Amino acid sequence: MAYEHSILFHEARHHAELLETRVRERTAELQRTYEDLEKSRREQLEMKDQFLGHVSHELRAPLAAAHLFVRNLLDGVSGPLTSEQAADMDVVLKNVDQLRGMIGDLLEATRSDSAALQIAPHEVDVTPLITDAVSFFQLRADTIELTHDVPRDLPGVYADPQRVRQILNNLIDNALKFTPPGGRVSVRARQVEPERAFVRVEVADTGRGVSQEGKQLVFERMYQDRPTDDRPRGGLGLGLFICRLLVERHGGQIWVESEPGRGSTFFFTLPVMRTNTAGAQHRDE
Amino acid sequence: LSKKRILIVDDDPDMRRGLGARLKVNGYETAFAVDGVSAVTMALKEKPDLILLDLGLPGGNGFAVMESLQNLAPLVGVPVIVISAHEPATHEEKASRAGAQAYFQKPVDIDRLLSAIASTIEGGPPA
Repeated sequence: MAYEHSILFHEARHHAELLETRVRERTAELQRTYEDLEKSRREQLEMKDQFLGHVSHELRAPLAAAHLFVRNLLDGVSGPLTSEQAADMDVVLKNVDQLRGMIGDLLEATRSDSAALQIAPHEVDVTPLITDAVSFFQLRADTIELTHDVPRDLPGVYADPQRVRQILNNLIDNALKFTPPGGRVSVRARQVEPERAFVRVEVADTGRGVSQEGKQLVFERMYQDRPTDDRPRGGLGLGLFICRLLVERHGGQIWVESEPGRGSTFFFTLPVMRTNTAGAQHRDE
Repeated sequence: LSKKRILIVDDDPDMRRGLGARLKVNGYETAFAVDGVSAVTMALKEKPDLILLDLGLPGGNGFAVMESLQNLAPLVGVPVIVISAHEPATHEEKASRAGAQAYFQKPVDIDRLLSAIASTIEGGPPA
């Protein structure tokens, strides 16, 4: 009896060991499969980013020459233009610029490596960024009245000025695109709650407004509100998506308020720069 | 007062012509190179006050050109401004480490480029 038990016990132990070995082997196998998949996923992302970088480079090169020659013509490098010729060249330039913006957006919205949507924040005064953007767009606003209103005591924000410029350009460009001739676009900035720790910038237009559905979706990738015939020729639907990602990277928020037919106001916030950093450091020491 | 001389290195003939015409009107003398090798030989021959350098070049890219420039005693201190279609996010820092004074992505904002050229070349904008 004892002998039988002993055999059974040994057999059981043998099976248990076999099972353990098998589990270990399968686990290792699964781990290897997982690592292989992970490696191939990373390689695919890397290849995609390389491809995107290559495409962007190849698209930009001919655009660069076109842009340069149009600017040369407009600035009289090859002799003076008639006012009609200059107006025509302005149209070419506007379209080349649009194409340039689209290439940039396409790359930023699709690439997945660390170079995507980087920000380099430091203390920035948003006032000159707003006045520069407004003066730039005033040149092309035609019959739309474009104004700005920024208080003198606006505090500095902790942001990347290039990116803030990008956000402003996007919102103002959109506002002008969707506002009929004779309409108004205004850019305002205010220090706001909570704890007056944010600067809120708003871009308001008197265009046709954003639909109820659009208010939820307008910051999503590739969404275009009301893709109907009255929509101006309008890009890839990536601009506001990129704006949202950029604002969020800064720790701010972006949203839209709108009444159909009565215009829209796009808002975004940026955190105010702490002014007592030096004091805080002293306390820490 | 002699005119400042700028060497334009770009394999795209349109870019060379467009930039050359613009710089000439703005009072600079220009010289041209089409690839990495001729960039270095032209720089030695022309002794430019500034080099506008594309990165993607046949026969040695812009980084190799900058390395050569730094190793050649006659060219030490000649400032380089990079003009490239590559993304600044992936190439600007590397260009700066290689010695570039500024980085402009194509298509370039010509006004900003001209003011960067003027402030890089000692003595500001040409008369």
